[in-house]
Amino acid sequence: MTMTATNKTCSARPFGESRMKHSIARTLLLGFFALILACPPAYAAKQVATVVATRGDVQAFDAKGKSRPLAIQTPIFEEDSIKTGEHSQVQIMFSDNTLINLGNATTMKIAEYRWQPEQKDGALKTQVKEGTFRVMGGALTKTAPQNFKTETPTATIGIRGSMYAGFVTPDFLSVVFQGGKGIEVTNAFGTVEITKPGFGTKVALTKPPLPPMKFTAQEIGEMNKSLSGNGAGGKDDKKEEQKDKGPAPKGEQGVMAAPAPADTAALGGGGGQQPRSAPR
Amino acid sequence: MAQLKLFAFALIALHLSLAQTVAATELPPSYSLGKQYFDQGRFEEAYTELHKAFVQDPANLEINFYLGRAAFESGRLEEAVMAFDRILIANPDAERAKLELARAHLRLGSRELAKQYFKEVQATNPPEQVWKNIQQFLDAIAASEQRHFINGLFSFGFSHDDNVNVAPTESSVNVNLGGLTLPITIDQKAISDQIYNTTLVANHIYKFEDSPYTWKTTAVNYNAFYGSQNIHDISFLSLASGPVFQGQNYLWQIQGMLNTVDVAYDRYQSACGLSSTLTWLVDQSILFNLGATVQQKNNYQDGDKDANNYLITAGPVFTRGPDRFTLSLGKELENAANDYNSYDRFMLLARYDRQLPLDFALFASFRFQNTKYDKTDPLYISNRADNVLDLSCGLSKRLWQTEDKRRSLSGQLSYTNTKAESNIALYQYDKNVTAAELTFAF
Repeated sequence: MTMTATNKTCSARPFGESRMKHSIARTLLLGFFALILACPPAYAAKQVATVVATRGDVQAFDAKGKSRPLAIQTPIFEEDSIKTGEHSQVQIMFSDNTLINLGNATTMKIAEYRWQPEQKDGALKTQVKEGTFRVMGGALTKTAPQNFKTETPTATIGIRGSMYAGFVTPDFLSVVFQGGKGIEVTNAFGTVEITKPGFGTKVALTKPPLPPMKFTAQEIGEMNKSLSGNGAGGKDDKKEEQKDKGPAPKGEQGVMAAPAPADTAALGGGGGQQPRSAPR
Repeated sequence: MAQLKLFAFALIALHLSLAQTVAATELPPSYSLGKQYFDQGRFEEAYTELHKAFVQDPANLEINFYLGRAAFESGRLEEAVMAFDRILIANPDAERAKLELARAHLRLGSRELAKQYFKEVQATNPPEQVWKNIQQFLDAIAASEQRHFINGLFSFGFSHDDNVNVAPTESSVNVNLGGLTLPITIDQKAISDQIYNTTLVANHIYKFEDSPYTWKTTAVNYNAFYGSQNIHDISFLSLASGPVFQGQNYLWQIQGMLNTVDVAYDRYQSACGLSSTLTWLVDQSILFNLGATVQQKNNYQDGDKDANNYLITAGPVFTRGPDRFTLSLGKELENAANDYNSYDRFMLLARYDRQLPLDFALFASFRFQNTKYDKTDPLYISNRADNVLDLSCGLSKRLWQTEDKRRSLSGQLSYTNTKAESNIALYQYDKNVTAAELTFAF
C-alpha cells in the first residue's frame, strides 16, 4: 500500500524535477571526485615521511601489502615497506629531518616512527631486508639516539648523530660510517663501535660483527653507485682512461674553487713535518 | 542555490588541486631570499630559507644545489651530502654535484669517496681551471695518505780557526806536586788552520694512519777535516729514533739515541741514551721548548771520563714579523767515573734572527756556559771552574728554492769569538772562527 502510494507519488512528479535530481547527483559526484583530487589520500596509518627524490620504479607497500607507486612528495606511512627496482633510487625525509636513501633493488620497512620534539622523545626503527641504504640522522638522533635503529637480518645499527651507508643481503651486512659521532653495530654475538669515517664492519649470519676496518675504494664505490645515480665509481673505465689526457679546453661548465684551507685541514700535516700549505 | 554552492565548492577544490601542481613548477619565494643570503655569505640564514623552499619543492635541482652549498658552508656536511645525492638521483651526470659531494665527503673524513668523485669528474675533461683545482684536491689527499717522509739537509763548510789547538792565553800554570804549588811554563802556541766540514742530517718520518703519532728517526753525520792539524780531525755519527705525538698546539717526542765520536780516526767516545722534547705553541707568536736528555758515555781513551750525563733545557721563542728571539736555559750534570771529571754546568743561549729583503737573513747570538767540577784534579790545587762565552753573528741568503719550497740552497757567512776563563790557566783561551757554509735542504 505504501509502496504503491510512493510509486504513485514518484510517477506523479514532473519531468523537470527528476532532471534536477540527476543534476544534483552529478554535481555531488563531481564534488566528491574533486575532493579526492584536491586532498591527499587519507590512510588510517600516520604519515611519517615524504619522498624528496626518486628515480625509476619505486613502490610502497602498506601493512596489508597493497602497493602504490612513489613519486616526489608522496607521503610515506608507518609500517610502509618501500621497494626500489633495478636502477632505481629514492630518498625520503622524516619530520625530524632524518633522510634515508635507498639504492637499487632495496627493500626497507618503516617499523616504527615517533617524533615528539616537545617531549624530546621519538623513535625510528627501520628494517632493511636487502639492498643498499644511506641514513642521515635528523633531530631525533640528538634527542633520543638510543631509539634510532636500522635492523638488518644479521645485525642492528645504532646511531649517535651520524651518517652511514650499508649493503644488506639476507645473510650479510656491510656498513660503513661516513661522518658524525659514530655508529654501533650489534647482534647476539657482539658489538662494535665505529667512529672513523671510511671505516666500517661486516657481519655474517650468526657471527659477531668484524672489528672496524677501512673500506676499500671498490667497496665504497659499489655502495655509492647503487645509492645516487651512477654514484662515485659508477662511471665506466673509458672515462677514467681519459684522465691522463688532461683538461679539455672547453667552455665553463661549472666553477669550483680550489681547496680552501678548511677543505684540507682534516687531511693533517706531513707526519711531523711543517704542515704543508693547502694548494691554491 | 544549494546546487550552486556544491558546484562552487567542487570548482574551488579542483582549482586548489591544480594550483598545487602549477605552484610546483615555480620557485618558492623563500628560494630567492635564501639565494640572496647565500650570495651575501650569510649561510645560516640561507640554509633556513633554502630548506623551506626545498620542503615546498623537493624536486627542484637548483634549490637542492644551493641548499647543499648552504649546508656545506654552515657545517651541515651530512645534509649537504644528502642534498647533492638528490641531484644525482635526478640527474646521474650532474658533475658539479659530484664535485660538491667530493668536497663534503673530504670534510667528513671519507677521503676514499671524495677521491672517487674527484677522479670521476676529472675524467670527463672539465675546463682547465676546474681540472687543475681537482688535481690540487687530489694532490692534497695523496699527501695526506703518504706514510713515509724523508727530509733533512746537507751542508759543506769552510772555516778558519785561529786557535785550533785551544792554546792557553797564559804562559804558565800552577800545578800541585806533592803538596807544593809550582808554576810550570806552558809551551803551547795558538795554531791557526783551515777546516773543511760536512754535515748531513736525515730524518725519516713514518705517519701512522688516522693517528696523532708518528715515528721519527734522525741520523746525523758531521766530519771536520783540518788542513794541517790532522790530529784534530773529527767524525761524529748519531742515530735517534722514537715516537712523536702531535697535539692541537704541542709536539712531544721521545727518542732513544746512540752516538759515536772519532778523533784523528780513532774511537774517542760513544754514548747511548734517551731524550724527550716538548714544543708548546703558546700562541701565534710564542713557542716554548722543554727538553731532557739522559746519556751514558763511554770514553775509549780515558776510562776516568766514562760518565752518566743529564741535561735539561727550557726556553721560549718569540716571533714577531721578521724578527725572532730565542732564549734557552740549560742545566747539565755529568757524573764521571772519576769525580774530578764530574761537573755541574749552567748554560744560557740568546739568539736573535731577522729576515731581510731579497731572501737575506742575519743572526747574532750570545752563549754563556759556567762549569764547576766536583773534585780537585790531583794535578791542580783547586776545583776547576770555567766560564766560556761565545759571541756570534752572521748573514745568510737563500740562493735557490723549488716552487713547492721543499728543497732549497742557502749560503751563510759567520763569525764566532770564544773567550774561555778558568781558575786553572791551562783552560783559559781565546779563539776566533770565521766560517762560510753552503746548505742544501730537502
